[in-house]
Amino acid sequence: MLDEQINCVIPDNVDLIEIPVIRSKKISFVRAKERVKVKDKYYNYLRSMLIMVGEELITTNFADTVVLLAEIQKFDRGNKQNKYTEIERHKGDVNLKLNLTLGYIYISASESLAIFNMHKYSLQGISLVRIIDDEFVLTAESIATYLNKNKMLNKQG
Amino acid sequence: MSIIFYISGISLIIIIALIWRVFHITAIKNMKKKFLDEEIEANRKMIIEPLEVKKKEVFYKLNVYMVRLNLYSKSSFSSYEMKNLYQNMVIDTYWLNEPFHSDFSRILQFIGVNNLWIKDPKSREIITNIRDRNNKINKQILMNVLDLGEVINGVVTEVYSNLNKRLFYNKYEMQDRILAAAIYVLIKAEEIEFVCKILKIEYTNEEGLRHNLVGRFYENLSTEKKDEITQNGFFNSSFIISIYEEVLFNSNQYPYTFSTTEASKCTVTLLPYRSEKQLMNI
Repeated sequence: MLDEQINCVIPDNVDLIEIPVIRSKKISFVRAKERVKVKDKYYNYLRSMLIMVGEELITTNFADTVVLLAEIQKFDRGNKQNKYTEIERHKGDVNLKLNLTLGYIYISASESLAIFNMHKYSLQGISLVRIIDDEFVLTAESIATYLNKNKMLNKQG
Repeated sequence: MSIIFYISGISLIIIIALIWRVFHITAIKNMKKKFLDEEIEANRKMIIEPLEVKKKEVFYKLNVYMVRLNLYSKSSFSSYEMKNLYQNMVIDTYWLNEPFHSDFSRILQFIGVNNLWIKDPKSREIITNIRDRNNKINKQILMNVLDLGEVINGVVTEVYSNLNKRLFYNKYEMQDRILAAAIYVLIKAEEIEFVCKILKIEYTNEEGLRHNLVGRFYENLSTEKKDEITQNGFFNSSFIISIYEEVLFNSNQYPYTFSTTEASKCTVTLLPYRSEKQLMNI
């Protein structure tokens, strides 16, 4: 496991899946799950968790996704130190503005609840033991090879 | 008395039943044998005896003697695909006539040294934000990419095989169409603006760019042929475009990261040293 982190090599028993969360705004999670077989029994471990909006990976790090999910969960109780989002009030409604490199999107209150619930559902049956010590150190090249291996760089639909 | 008749009657019935049973079993065995024999005979009819085929006279090229030719050394091509293309298109076909030989090898040398690429029409572009240890965020674009060397290898061999089927083309006419196909693929490279900067060529529109590149690479061609290569018709052979689109959908995809800074884009090197022909044994 140490060799993986030094060489940034991703092993074969890890699958990368794109989990759609809010389809109308193209918000989705990218989850890396490791499968280990011990005596005719499979164990699942989480190795990294990213957030993708449209055609942009906003976070490439597990710590960053936790920060973004916390900002989404707190919603209108956040302040100006928010890193990814801004609170905007328009005709009595409160919305969360998420900045992208090209443009921005708005997240409503019910959608923020849905994102947080979906995060809980996506971790069912997966252990979080290895996420702190053995998280993938992802570079741009390793993400590109990883996405190409799972055929996620092809156009869909 | 009645008991004796009763017992004897029952025993007679049992004996008759046993005898009938024995005859029945033997009859079934005979039937099975008949079916088996019929099946074996049917299988025998399926097998065919070996045919007697006679030899035919066929023309076969056999080069027994060593020949000394004026060729470019293969180390100047630097990538194995360009070496294979030079072997297939120039040496095996024995096209050593002068304007074609040096002009075609010059464009192969240029592509072999530089790792040019084409954007894959099927891929999508994903932007990533990656954080350093110094808390700086690098923005990079991920996409699938095709190698230009592989594409030009596929297009040229396909054009050559397509021209070989049509018997009414001359040797020199085929060479002109292959040169046109090589220039058509080179223009489609994604880094063509940086190629133009380093070769000191003006980049205006596609036809003007093609005219300038032809002047740079194919120096010894006559002006009439240069004009025909630069036109959109390509000697009235529009199948080059359809072959190019066909090759794009069947070539290998490679993952590539594309940063927005200009320093990473400018990887194009100059034309390699003008390598001279050498006498070689083949």
